[in-house]
Amino acid sequence: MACLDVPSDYERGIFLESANILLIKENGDTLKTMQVPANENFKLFIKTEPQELASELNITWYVGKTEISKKPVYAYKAGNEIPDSVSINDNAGNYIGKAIHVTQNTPPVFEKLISPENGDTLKSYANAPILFKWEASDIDNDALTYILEVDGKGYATGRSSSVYQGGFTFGKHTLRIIVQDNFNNADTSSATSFYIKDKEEQ
Amino acid sequence: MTRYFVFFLIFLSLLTACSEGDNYLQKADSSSILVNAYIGNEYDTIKSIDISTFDTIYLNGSASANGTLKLKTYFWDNGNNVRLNDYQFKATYPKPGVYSPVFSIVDYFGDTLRDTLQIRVSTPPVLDSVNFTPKHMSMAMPADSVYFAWNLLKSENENTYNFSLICGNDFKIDTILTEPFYSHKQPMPELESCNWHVSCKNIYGIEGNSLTGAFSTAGNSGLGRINGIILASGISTSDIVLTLSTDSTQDTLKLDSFNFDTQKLSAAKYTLKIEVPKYKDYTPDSVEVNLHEGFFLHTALRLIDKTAPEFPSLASDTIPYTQKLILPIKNEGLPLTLGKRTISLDNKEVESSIDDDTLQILIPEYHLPICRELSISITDAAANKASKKLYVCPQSTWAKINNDTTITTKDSLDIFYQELNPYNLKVKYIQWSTPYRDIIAVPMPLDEFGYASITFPKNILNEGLHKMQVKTVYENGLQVFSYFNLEVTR
Repeated sequence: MACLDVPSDYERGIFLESANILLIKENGDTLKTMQVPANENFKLFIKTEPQELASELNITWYVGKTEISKKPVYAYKAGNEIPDSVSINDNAGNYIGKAIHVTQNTPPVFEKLISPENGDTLKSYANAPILFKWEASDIDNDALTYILEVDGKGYATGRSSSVYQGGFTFGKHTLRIIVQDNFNNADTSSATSFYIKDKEEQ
Repeated sequence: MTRYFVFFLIFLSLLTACSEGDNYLQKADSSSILVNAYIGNEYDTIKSIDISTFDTIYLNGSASANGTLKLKTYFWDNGNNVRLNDYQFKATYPKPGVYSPVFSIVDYFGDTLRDTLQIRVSTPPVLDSVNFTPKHMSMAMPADSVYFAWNLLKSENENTYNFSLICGNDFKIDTILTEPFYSHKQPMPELESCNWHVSCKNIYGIEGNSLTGAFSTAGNSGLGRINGIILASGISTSDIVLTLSTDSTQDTLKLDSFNFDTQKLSAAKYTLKIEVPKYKDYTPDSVEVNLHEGFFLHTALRLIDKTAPEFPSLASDTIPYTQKLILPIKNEGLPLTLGKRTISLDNKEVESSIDDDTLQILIPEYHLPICRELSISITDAAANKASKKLYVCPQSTWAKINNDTTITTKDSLDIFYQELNPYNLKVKYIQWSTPYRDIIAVPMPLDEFGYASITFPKNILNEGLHKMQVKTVYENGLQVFSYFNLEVTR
């Protein structure tokens, strides 16, 4: 037994186990998705496990291979660079490197319904097409796609904000428009109604 | 201690020698073993494949050698940490990802040899095949503003779409798209019926579902158009008369096929009517169409023969025996030769023929004084069936005719016939004949006792035995035959 070199006691320490990057918007909301509207200030900070280690970590923010900050929290202001990676080191030499992908994108906005307007009564023949027309915008100039939702059924209209769609019965119908950008951000119009009346009825 | 050390050195040298010997053998045999893993049947050498999460594939492993192959074991790792002790197994990968199944063998010497496959599994894209733009069966779509778009219900990758569009006979588009919409830059043909189809696949070539839509374009000229299909079977289009009428006009449309097309018409209320003058059993059909300006309407008309053939009305179901019973059948549909018939006497099928609308039944001769059941079933070409049961009784009570007789060629012959039908059927005419030719027809009224008589001229028949036939044709169409033998000598 004397030959065995077994430590009599194991030295337990606190080591860096994991790190996650969180984004805090100007209004204080904390996001797990790294997406903020363009030109909006935000902060990036590291949430580590174990948490008590946070004050002892050495954090370096990079753009490419260039260090841009060594502060624990990176505060982005419009016009600054956004780090694309971060390295986190504890005092015991443990290291975690993380890539950062912040998307600056503003969701699209449904602007207005042009046709049919809320409450419109359209005189039409059975199955005749109806012109649906609306306006939407995106501050980032993203290509937008639309879904025309009539009576709860969604009809894709691609990039067209003006389409003829037919085959609706006479009577009341509900209408919504859903606007989407490439980042899965969406805006939806408030529900409106329109009526189709038989053109042949006096 | 020294002795132990010497033993140890000897043991070590032996161990080394054995080990080197094994190495020699292992290297020699291992290099000659060929391990092959492949996908599909044994003639394929596919090492990688793209499949969908719904696909099933067969993975095969084989091992061969120049000499005798001795294996300790062989097994597959399916790439999903499942081990299988087979050469071949059926695999499915319900989760998308890249899998590397490995086929391994361990040879007699403990060497392990492997061959690895690569399987890329992705989820097929799913299109919404119900709701899309333009909506299925949309009408009067503006020819310059048709925009095609469809929803993706499920997709993990970028997709390509095979979009095809056909309007009428001349306008066709077939293109590959990378986004789920299509806009044709030029106006499409006016007042045309269009069909479009989209199929999709992901970047790995895994095919998803497809959608099919139909619509018609509007015209800007204030006109409309009607086309349609005539549903009928067995009859020719040349027998069908299709008319298009308004309150004040009527036109007959030319039919080249069972599809018709009015081409451009003024907007109005129209009646389309079809009938088959040649076959009145086909019930005429008509449809009213309110054609609005700019609409291309589609309709269907159907011609059905629901009228079964009719048998002649007989005063009784009992008829006298005759070798050849002829029944006129009323039928104003397709010829009965195109239908089927079953005729049996006491449940035994008898010979019959049908020509135009006349049924001839050959009833086997019998001599018992009993009535027999004759079942007649006729099905016309439109599957309408008519059945009748008659009872064939010995005819002796219906008529009296000459007895068998012998004459010379120089003789004339007086023959007589007494008609005695018990149902007061009216005789239309009586005809004497041999089986080979008619001799004389007598459309005369019978006398008050039902007698008809005629004198055969001299030399009318050659020498020999003639089977004489007397045919009585009644007003209701029933025909009764009687026979006697006439021998003519020199």
